[in-house]
Amino acid sequence: MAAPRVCVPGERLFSTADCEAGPGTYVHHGYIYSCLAGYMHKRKQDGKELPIIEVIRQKEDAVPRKDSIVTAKVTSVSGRMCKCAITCVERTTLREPFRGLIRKEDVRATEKDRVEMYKCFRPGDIVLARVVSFLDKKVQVSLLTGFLDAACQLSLGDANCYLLSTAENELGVVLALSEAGAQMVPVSWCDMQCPKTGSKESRKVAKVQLQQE
Amino acid sequence: MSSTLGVLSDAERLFIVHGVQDDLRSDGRACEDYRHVEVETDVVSNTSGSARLRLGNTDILVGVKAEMGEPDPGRPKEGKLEFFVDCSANASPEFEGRGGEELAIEVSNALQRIFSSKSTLDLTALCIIPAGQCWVLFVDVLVLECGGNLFDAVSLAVKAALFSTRLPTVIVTADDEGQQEIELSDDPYDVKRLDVDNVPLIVTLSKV
Amino acid sequence: MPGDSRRVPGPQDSRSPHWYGKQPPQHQETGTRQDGRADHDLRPVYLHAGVVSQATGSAYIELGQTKVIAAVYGPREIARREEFTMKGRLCCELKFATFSCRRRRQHMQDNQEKDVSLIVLQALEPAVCLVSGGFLLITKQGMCVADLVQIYLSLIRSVLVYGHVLLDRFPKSQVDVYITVLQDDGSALAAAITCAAAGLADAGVMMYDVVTGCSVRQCGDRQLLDPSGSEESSQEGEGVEDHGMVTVGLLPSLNQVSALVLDGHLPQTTAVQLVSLVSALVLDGHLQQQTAVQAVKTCIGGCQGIYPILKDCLVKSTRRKVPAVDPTLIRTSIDGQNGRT
Repeated sequence: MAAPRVCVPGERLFSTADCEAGPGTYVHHGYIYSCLAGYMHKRKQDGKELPIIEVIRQKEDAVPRKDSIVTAKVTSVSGRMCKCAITCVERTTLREPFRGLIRKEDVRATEKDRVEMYKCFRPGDIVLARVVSFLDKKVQVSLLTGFLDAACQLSLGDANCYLLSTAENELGVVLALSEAGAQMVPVSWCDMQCPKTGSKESRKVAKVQLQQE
Repeated sequence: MSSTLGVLSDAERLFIVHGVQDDLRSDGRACEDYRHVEVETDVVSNTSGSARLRLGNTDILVGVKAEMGEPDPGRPKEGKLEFFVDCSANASPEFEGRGGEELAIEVSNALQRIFSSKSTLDLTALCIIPAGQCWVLFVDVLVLECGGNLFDAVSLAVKAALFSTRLPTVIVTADDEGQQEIELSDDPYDVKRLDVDNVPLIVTLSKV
Repeated sequence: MPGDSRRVPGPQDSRSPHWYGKQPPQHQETGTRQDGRADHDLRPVYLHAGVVSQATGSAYIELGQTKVIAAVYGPREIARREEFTMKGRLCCELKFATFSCRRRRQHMQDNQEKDVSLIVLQALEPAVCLVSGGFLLITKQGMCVADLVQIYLSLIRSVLVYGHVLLDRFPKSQVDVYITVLQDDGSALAAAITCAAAGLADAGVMMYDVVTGCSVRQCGDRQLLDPSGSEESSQEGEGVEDHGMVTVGLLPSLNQVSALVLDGHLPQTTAVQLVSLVSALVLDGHLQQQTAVQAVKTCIGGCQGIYPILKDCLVKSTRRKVPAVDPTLIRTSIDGQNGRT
């Protein structure tokens, strides 16, 4: 197969009459232009007449988006919230960490008021969490356009941090070190056991499912 | 208008665009009309020249202080002009702390660029002793209220302030040892004024 | 640039020896320039992307003896709390290395460098896709025209956005572009613009087009494209009617000008032709209106000349950096990547 064509941003590719614009491209005055410096791929779409053009560059600008699963490392724990450093978004590792925040009420789905932060997370834990969506019914959303920004602010956190939530079975602590320094093994949804000393410590544990690839 | 939020709804945006198409802006002006301008000079007593300008809601105060200093080695027969713009916190809540710094730098760079051309202000008139002493004019702009069109208002106010600047006449005498001595004339009315006919003004256009 | 408290500053009253020397001879009146080029010839360009391994994207350019390097980091967290934004943000910082110019520069950014950083930022912003789901048109429209004897054009931006934006390309994040001029031998601004655009494309930031920069020096009725250092700083022609320098930042495929810096002054009030060409305009010096327009057109021609070099460089760096992948194996994210109107 011939090497795929490399295109640069702003290069005119095809007209909209011949193809559809896919990711990595934009449409201007009836022509499809490339948005990225990457490889151009043209493929047939099922059920549609026109083939679709995409420009792919492997490195995506990874930024935590709403409803994406992120991997974070807990940096500090207080009574009401816990701060963490987001290191990966979905499958992309970030070059520089973003700041995230898990509030007390976002740790669990049930019994939210009886959560004790120190029994759920400890500094140094690796956590799987989800960036909170703004269509969550718990968050009051005002649909006046003037307040849309404010609503978005609520969902993505404030100027400093992204708002994360572990209120699902599959989310929570995945890796933790015990006080003795060994990596702990999960026992239940709220306990982890240290293999060296055998002592149990409380964490909000994630139920990691093995994914079929 | 929700102009305080800085966000316009679609209806408001459409209203403005349609108005502009009919040569009518939201405050009733035509597209090429200025707001009401008020200029006052000699408002600050401790300066060599000053001006206050109100352009609609924009309020600018400029003070010019003249001091004697050494000229640039590359230009020994010219004086110097230094600009400093201060977007003070009471002009707009965004200017609190260091918020106004970027805008202030932009405005002062703009002023610097205008006056760097030789034809704007005759800097040789500011020379006292070539390669020795010259007048250094410190033009300080204070933005008291920012109601839009900052560049225009600042350039108008600077021109007015330079117009009102009075430099005391300098008498250079050579004393016995050949050293040059500088004396300021005693007469308060014996002053030198600057020729500001060629000082440019900024006009801002915005395309909607 | 953070201040360096440990550095011992040099003596305050030190002076460059150049002030005491003779002025260098002016360039000849006859056809060729000092380096043997014709009036409208560009200097040889060397452009290489992907030079800084730690950065997301980077580029290095040599325009004759002018050397500029740019590094792009991002999207990453916005450092300062006050600058919260739901749209992505582009930050540009340009610095002349202290040894780069004839006169030693300070290690902190001075006003001129801040000014040039702003110009480069304004040249790059229209090209970068900051919002998704909409299309940015000629993003900068706005200029200041003085209607008195001297015209001073300063800039005010306003962004035209079509469509409604709900999704944002990189919210609460910013892309930082750091440009360092290693050696300034004329046309540093033009080189910086081209270099920064190449760095952004190398970083994989979505752009509508790559920006190319070019400058022209007007001496009397001669237009010198891509002036070298001695041509840029020559005093000749200052008493004469037309002298000045024009720098243009162009989006070649879309044929839009995103930055225009004119050091000259127009004796006539009508700048209508320029208004249709420009987005950002800064003016001081001496230039007749017709010659200014002509100079801008020459610059645009020069920019178009640099574009193939830029394109070639990006193609090579993409082949080197990014392995060709089967599109069916890549899961592209659904939101906001398709920038349709």
